[in-house]
Amino acid sequence: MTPLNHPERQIDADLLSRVASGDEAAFARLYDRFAPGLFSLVLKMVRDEKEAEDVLQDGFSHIWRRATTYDPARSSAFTWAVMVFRHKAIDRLRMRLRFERIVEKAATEFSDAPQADEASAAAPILREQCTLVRSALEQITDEQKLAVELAFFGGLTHEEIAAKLDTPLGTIKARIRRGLLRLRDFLKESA
Amino acid sequence: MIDEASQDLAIQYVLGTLDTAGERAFEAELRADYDLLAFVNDLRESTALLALAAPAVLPPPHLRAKVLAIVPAAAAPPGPALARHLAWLPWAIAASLAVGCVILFSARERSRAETQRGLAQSERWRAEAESGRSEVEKSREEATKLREKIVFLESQSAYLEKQTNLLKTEIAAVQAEPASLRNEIALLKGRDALAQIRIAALSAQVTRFAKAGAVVLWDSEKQRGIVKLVNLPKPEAGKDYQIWVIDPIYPTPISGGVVPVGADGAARVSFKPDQFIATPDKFAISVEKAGGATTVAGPIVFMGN
Repeated sequence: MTPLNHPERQIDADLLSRVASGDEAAFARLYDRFAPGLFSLVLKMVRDEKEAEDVLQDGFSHIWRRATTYDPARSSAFTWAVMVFRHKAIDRLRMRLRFERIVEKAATEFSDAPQADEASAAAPILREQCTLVRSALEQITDEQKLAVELAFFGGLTHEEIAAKLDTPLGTIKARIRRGLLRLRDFLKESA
Repeated sequence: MIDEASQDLAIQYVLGTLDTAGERAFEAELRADYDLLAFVNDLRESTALLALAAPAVLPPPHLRAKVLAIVPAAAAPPGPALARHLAWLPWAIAASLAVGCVILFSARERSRAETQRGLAQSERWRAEAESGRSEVEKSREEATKLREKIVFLESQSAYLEKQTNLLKTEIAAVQAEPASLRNEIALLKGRDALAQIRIAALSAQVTRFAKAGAVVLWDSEKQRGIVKLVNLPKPEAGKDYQIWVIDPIYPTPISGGVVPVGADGAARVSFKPDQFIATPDKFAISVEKAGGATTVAGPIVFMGN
């Protein structure tokens, strides 16, 4: 799972293509490559290990059934998977009516979130990318970072973030836009 | 160059926060604008990488088996694979049949055991589903009860509000009552006071006082009176006018005191007799030695009842 690395990206795309053909072994291998990163993502979003497990199962079930809808021209396999799992996690949050409470907790805890043992939790390539993304987040202001995190991990709309932070909608849009574009530029430069 | 408004829409599209109509409209734009499409794809890639900012946590080991176990249960993914493997289908069927025949017998027993286990599991699930259903039913009943309670409380609230308004009106009326009663009492008292006051016009008993006038107002309850005199000749030196109240219960008139007269021959004096006056039969004014006398000694110049 190395979205910035072309050969790795190709491996993921090939695996997904094989999954689309019903290849169980490819599916198992894709699980091994994607599950650590995706589990971390959904756990951060739903803040509950059991729910994160449910989302992971649900997400991989979706990948198995809908792998044919993946378009390599549109995004990397990893990006596609991230978006699938993120939406599953948001659905779960909304369905359980715990959305607001959990998002608040996530937002306040984000900066102080206990870091897991990166060495054991991720493969070397993934570790490098995690470091890169965290460096990218340091390139944006705290206000931009908070707005981006609430949008990405909290699944909040621009309007919801504006209301939550008691800040004009235009300001929130600008913070998210500038933050995401700065992240994009930094990641491109570092690739 | 993509303007900021389009960039914001692209961000919302990537984050999945556009509503269905907005999403469709934006996708129509994407189909017509290659630059925008490239921007979106680019943005999607970098945004998805934010997932790596989450603290790394490995999924529990048992989860892998669970995830992989769902594969056969899930519908087989449609797609080009079927066509590619179509050529192998007859071989696959033949092989399956052959292998199937060989292992059928041995598998039968295992299948039976698995079926039993499956049935037991199914029974457990059914029980759980039943319990879940009854929970839902219970919740639904509770919700209905709560709704009814809310309706009842709302009607109670409306009734209480109405009662409160009525009471407020009554309280205002009661509060206004003392004021009107006080007014009435004052009026009655005034009437009573007038009723208690006796007015006596005194007549001159001496020709020299014919042009003078004297009036006495007597309040029985308060046992005091006011005497008003006009055009009265100035008393001789060493003399004073004195007022008397004649009550049949006393053998002699009761003194009301000296009445000082001004240079203009007028006087308005309040007086209070020394004794209790039960029946003020008559009032009289006499000329007495200066400072007054205890009994009538000088000539009476005015008298009346």
